[in-house]
Amino acid sequence: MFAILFLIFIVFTLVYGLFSAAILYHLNQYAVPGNTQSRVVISSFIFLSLLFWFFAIYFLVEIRMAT
Amino acid sequence: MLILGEGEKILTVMRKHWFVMLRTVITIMVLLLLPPVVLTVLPLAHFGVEQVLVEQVTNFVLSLYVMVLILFLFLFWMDYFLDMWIVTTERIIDVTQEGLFNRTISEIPLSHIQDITIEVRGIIETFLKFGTMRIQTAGEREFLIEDTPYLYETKDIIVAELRKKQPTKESRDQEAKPHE
Repeated sequence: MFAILFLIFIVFTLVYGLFSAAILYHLNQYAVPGNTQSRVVISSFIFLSLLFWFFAIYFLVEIRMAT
Repeated sequence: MLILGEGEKILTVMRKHWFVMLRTVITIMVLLLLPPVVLTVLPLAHFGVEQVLVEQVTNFVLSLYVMVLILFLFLFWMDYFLDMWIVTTERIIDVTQEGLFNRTISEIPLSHIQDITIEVRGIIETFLKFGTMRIQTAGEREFLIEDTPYLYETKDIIVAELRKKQPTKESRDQEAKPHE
């Protein structure tokens, strides 16, 4: 059970990281210079992503403990 | 990356009205309501395994689920943010972003503009003050700026810039004078 969920988590993190990097690259490359709106949204996205990523790790550890 | 010519300045940047984003935002909000529903219903169900384990697995899956929604919302916002019309002192640039891998950029010089038409259709566009601007160019295709707010202000900016570029009566007279 834990091994399968751990594998899912690793694959998910890789795909999520790849897509996030692609979006951030596009925003850095193509945004109009001097625009601050994108910085606020990028910061919020990174913060929320990390928050739920740590939640996922926490629950994964809890599953490990429970099994 | 946007590269401006020498002396060229950005006059305004237009994006679609927020109302265009509303449908996707509502869909994501509805999908975000799913985790509380699952967490409420789950204690009532029995899966033949320990309830604590079921709860932990559910919490784990819901964390990934919320991350997917955040990523989808961010991707949609990027699409909205990079889809824009840039009016500069020299040209109008139309940047169309469709997802991550499709990007179209077209532009017309301000000097090619012959006619600007503003269309506001329907009750929603009238109340929320957005619509379509049609720019007719000399011998080229029609340029469309769709679902954007501040249409009249943008038209005034373009017209003012065009007037600046037009030769004044004195300079025309000067040019018309025969050389002695």
